[in-house]
Amino acid sequence: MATHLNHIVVATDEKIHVFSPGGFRSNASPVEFSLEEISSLPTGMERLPGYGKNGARTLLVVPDLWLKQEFFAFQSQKNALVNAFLERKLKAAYPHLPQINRFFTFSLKEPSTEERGVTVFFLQEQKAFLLNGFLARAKLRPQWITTPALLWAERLLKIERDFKNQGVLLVDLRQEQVFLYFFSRGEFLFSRRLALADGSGRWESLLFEINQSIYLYAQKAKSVLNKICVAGDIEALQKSLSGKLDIPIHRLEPEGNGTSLPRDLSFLEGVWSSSGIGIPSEVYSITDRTIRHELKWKPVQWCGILTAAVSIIAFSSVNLWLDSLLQDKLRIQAALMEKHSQPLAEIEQALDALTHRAGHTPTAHALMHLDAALPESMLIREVKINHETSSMELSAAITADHIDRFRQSMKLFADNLSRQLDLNRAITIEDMAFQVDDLKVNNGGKTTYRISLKAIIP
Amino acid sequence: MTSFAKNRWAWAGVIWLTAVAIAFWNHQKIDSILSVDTQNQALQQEIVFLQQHGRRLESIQQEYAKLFLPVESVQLGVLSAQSAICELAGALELASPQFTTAPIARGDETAGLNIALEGPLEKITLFLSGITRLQYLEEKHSTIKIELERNEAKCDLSMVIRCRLQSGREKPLVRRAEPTSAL
Repeated sequence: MATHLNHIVVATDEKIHVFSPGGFRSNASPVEFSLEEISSLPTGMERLPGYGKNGARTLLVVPDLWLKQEFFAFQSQKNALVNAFLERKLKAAYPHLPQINRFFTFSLKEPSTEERGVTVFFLQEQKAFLLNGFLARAKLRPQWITTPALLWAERLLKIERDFKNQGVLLVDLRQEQVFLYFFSRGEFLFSRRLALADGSGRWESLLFEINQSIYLYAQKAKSVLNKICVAGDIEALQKSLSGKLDIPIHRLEPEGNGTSLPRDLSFLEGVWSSSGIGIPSEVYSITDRTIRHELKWKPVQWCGILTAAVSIIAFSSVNLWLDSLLQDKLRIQAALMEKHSQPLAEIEQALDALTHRAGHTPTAHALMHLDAALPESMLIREVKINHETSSMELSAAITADHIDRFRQSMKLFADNLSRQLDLNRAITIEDMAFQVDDLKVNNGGKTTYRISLKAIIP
Repeated sequence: MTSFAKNRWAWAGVIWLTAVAIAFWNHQKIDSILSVDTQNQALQQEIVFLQQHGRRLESIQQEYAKLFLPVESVQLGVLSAQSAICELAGALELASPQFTTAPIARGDETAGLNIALEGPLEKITLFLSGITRLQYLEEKHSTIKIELERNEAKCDLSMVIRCRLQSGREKPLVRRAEPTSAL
């Protein structure tokens, strides 16, 4: 079992043992804390190997008793629904453990089985939460929490073909202790720790205890035990048990290569390889829900960061290229500006002014045109020209012996003036006003009419 | 680990914001390049146009320059214009015109000038014709009253003098008025 763990923390009922990275390979002694000690936080925390470093991958092994399993009938097989259901159930069942809904794992019963449901494993021991908090504060928050029984279950699943369909007892004999682990259909049921008695009757008493435990198993699992696997001091144990139990006994090869663990961690020797303990699978370990959530999003986050980083590199390259292009264009513009001494706008302004002046009729010209347009019988009195509005007001007198003559004179003047001034709109008699009040009658019978006219000139 | 994960979201956000900002910056630069390019094309066309029509444009500029009286100050311009007008009236043996000027605002390059003149109708007409040669004078209003009995005319002109202020070191103080000898 290859491992990529940084730290392994093993908890017993009294102590915790923290194995540093590489420590579990080189047989180095773990750092030990008593459980009372961790409740008086944060003193002593700095003694932890890797204390204060982020990103540690820590495995926590807790006693089997800290873990509990329960079965709930549940119809749905959808993980999201099962998760929500279990969170609700656990919170309701263990109100004194506020974090319980974060620390559980489950396995769904096969749809073909009689009763559909979910078996949930969860931390039920307050010490487990205290320990998790302690490790979290030391930046060693455990990513996986498991127990010796679950580690054995994972190992048995790999080496025993029918482990998922049988009732299996694992007997692990270590020095003066024997550990019994009972599994039903691949799921851990319960474990026992027995002290091996001294003297000749040790095997008889062990056999008695095993028989008692098998009876308990039969009651709990409601099925018979199919196989006994033995590990540890195999020779003596197998010899003493063979023929005395009506169950096949299977011998497990040792996992490690003589790794020596502290005496109170001897229960792990069977699953402790030369490289420590491998990362347990999801079914045989509990991962804090918050860590699971973070791990789920981690690839998305990194993918987003990498995509953005690549985009930044690409965009920055484009930016540099655009910048050089812009500088080139600005250099060209500066060169053109040097050549371009006189902007066309100035010339346009000059042209506008000259055109305006050319289109404007000076007073002298207006007078000359007026003179040329006058009929013989008409005399100018006053001329007012407003060059801003291009309007001309004219006051004149026409002498005529008959109204028809007067009309002809007016018409002639209007036509002449329109032609002379090249007016857009020709002047008509209607445009002229004449003042009847000022009628003057000459002695010769001729009448002088005073007329006024307003016209728009170019 | 929670804070680290939170930081990761923050980093992702910051990096994405940076990427978007650079993209926006690029967009701005592309706009600038296109704008400069358009300006350069217009400049290029103008340069070609100026090269092709240089002489004509020069004459236009010269004609345009005649519309302004190059002087050091507007007040001097007014005096110069009055002097030229008096010269013109004198050449036509007309009585000296009466001038009234409007107050000149600081920084202004134009000044209002009212001229009142009396004389024979023919000479007044010649005077009006002569004054058109002083191109820096722009007519605003003109009133000519003719007394046929005396063959006299009374002329009131309202004009604007257009000046171009220049440094005295480079240019003469007062530009000499347009010749009136033609009259």
